Amino acid sequence: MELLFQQLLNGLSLGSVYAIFAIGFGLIFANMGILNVAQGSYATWGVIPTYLLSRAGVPLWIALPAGLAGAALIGLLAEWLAFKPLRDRNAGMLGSIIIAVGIWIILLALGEIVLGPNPSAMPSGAFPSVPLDVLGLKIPPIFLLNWVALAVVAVGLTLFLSRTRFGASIRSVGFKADSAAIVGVDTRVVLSVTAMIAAAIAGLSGILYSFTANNVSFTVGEGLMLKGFAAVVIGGFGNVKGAVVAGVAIGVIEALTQQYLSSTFRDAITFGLMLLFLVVRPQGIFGELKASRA
Amino acid sequence: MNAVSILSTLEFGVVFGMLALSMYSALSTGLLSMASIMFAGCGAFLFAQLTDGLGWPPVLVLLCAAAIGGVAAIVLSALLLHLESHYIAMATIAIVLMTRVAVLNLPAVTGGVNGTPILTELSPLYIAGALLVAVWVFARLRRSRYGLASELAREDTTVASTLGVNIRWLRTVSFIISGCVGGLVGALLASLYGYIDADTFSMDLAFTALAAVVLGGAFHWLGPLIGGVVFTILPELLRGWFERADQLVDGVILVVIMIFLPRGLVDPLRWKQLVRRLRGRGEPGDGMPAGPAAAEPAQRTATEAIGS
Amino acid sequence: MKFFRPLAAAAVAAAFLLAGCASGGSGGATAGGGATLKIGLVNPTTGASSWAGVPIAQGAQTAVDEINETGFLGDQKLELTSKDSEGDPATAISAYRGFASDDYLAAICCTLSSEAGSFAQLAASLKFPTVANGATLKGLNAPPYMYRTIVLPADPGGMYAQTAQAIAAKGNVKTAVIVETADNEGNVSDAKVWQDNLQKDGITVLQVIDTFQADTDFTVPVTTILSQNPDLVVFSTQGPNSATMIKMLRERGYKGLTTSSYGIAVPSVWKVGGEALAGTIFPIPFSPDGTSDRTKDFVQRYQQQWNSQPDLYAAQGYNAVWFIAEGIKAAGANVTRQSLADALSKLDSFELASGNVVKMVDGQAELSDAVLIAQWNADGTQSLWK
Repeated sequence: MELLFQQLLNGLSLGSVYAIFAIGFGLIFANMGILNVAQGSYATWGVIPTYLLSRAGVPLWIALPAGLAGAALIGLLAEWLAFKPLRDRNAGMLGSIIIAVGIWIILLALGEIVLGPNPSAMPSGAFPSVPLDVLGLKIPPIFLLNWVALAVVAVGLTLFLSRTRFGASIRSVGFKADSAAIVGVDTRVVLSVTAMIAAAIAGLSGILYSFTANNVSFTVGEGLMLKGFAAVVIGGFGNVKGAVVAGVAIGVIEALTQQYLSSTFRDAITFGLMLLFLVVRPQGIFGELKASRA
Repeated sequence: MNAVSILSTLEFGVVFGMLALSMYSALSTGLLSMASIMFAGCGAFLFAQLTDGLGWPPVLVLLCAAAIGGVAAIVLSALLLHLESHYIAMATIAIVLMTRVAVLNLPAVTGGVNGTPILTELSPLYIAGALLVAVWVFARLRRSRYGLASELAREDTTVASTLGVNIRWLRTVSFIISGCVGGLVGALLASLYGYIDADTFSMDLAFTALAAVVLGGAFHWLGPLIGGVVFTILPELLRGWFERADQLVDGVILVVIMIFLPRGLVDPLRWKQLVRRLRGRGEPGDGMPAGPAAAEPAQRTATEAIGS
Repeated sequence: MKFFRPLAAAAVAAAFLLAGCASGGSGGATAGGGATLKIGLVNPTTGASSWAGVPIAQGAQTAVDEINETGFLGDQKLELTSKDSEGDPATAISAYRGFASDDYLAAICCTLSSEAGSFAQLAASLKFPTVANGATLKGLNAPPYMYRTIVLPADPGGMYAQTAQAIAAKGNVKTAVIVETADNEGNVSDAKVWQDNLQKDGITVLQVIDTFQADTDFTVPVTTILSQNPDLVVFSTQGPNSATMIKMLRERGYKGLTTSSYGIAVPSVWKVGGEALAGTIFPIPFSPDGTSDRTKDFVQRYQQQWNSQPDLYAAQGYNAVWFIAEGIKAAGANVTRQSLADALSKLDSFELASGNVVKMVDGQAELSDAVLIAQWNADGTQSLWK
């Protein structure tokens, strides 16, 4: 029984990281109409500044925001240099997928140049790593951070989008950019800020993952991308609640599959579910079928 | 110069070009499909079984590889083609990922973790032959009713439907062609690589093929072929510059092409306009009511038409 | 990196195109003209296994330079060409075929088991003498064309067996758990050998846990290990992953013994695991602190040339080149691929960089000496166990 609960906790922790990534990914899709496959590499580029600073002895309360800022900067550059010019040419969704692939390749190659091909890890002292003993279960402090971060991001973003004026601008641009512009929304600013927020969220998930898994590598973003993608498909695009539920669910299912079945099936189950949803219910659990924008 | 290496490079370039061609086939009717990789995987492992395992003659094996690709495509089309385009794209990505898991878990057919070494090496004549057949098929299609219909569907789906073009049928046919070409390519790749395993048919290969189609252009069958050759030679030119230089350049090419030359290098429409411009504007009787300048705003990239 | 793997294979083919003209014809069984004998080396000098590939290439070059300087082959000189396989089997094969079709006398290959899969058959069908320098894949050796100059840790009475025996002799280890990378054939067969030897020595193997090459998070398997509470955990996984799991185990209060193959011995793994690795033991085939003359000599040359100490991988490259050189010498004047292959098949012993003399049995190096078992220390150094 204890083993079951322990693995559940493991799954909930990792699932939270997936969920955070999925929220960022879904944000871009819902509000900018871009299936940003480069989002995974934003996660990697959130890790890189944090890792380099930590290795140089900078405490985490400085290094982590630096990582978030780094990721946000990368997201902004991608928006200005690639997505915006493409939008100006009316390229449509497939065009944005293709250019996102190009950005992904570039960021991945740069990441490998900076980090080298071998995996590394955050320095031991950077974040408390001795697990707390609670009712016989071991809870490493990073688990707590993951859960808190998920709550902050999910609740914070939802409130931001629904309760603030800027959030309303974001939603209006996402719905129909032209109408938003008519009403006086500066779409350039809105889109830039959206890109930065989504990238920072991706960066956060990358940093949390690198502490959870004790792994810093230029491929950090790839795994997150796949799981986050699956979470968004299963949970529903542009739906924070869906991303949270699906992301955490994937984490838990994976942990329990690996423990009680065989780990061979772990990925097969995740992708199988994703395919199933795409075929049967593409809008996900919580999404609504949207009429395509003309 | 080592003649063997020149030949080898050419072979790889042509075969990659044909993989891009498989993807182009689907893209020409508005389907971004990574499933070409899965079709290639089917063809490759079948090739291994039929040549090394059973010793069948190469031509028969290549036909079977194309056939298995086609069958896989029929199955997938039934499952997926009713979805919207971007969901189809995502589903095909999921399929490529699941293919890897499937390969790992079917060791009897695929060698599982160990992969399958391929001992049969096809002579370049087979590759040339496959290329000729593929080119002939695509050239004929281009001039056929199917080709006209798909070009129309790509340029303007509304007009196409108004004229009674059955988009769903078009996509199914293009998908099956994509499957057959993909299966054939898989068999050829198996022969070229000499070794295939679960990682051979991965998203990396899919993105390479996609990049080749984007570079070459999705409007004429020559585009993907040229794109494939370019992406084969490019990494070698850049090797040694600095590590990962070739990949960086690939990514940059993709971004730059999408922004500045979204219709790719091989674009009949642009060429026609260039020719017209060279001949001089507004010649009476040249068949175009408005000059070349007016034709430009109507120009849409394949991706625009698809995304709507 | 796997990302552009298919292009890499093609690119290597093109490499021979653009690298400049090769003299002489293509193919054929003769060595290049004149007194320069060309040897090709295919191994991962970039990519995820470059921490092995780079020292191997360096060690091989040191051997070539030493052979040329000391005139071991008389007025014949060796020339080494190194091609990067990027850790990808298709690229490795492409490079190898390139060497074979050109005027190379012999090749060195196979640092990774994944790369090595097809080579035995290829070497035989191309009649190209080849030495595998590192892969532990079973059945790779196939004289007269394919040889392997490392001692297989999984051999009966070999490194894993002796380590298991030494552990059992301590008396305080009764149960064990083995972790393997299920999609790496070398790891899987090694895990089996560990299992057999441990059980033979009276230690119960409670469970064999599977992980996968693409895995980066190990929280779940670590919890599984802890739930079994074994006295010993054996890691038949990639070095950095083993280190991560050991670190997580220690953080969660695990006090038992941890062991692994020598993949855990490289400095880059210390970066991943840190002090948590202290006390982890592993068998090693070569240590730069060894006392034999050959070791001292090698260390000195290598240090001078590359400004760092050679590790066991550098020794692998060194050994492979020397093996070929012995074959060339034995083949006599006008050496060809065929005469080299015959000479190599008759070599029944030679001396490794560690000073040990191995027997070559059916193309495979075998050692009957006692094996060194080392451990990581808390300060990042290594020392002998016990």
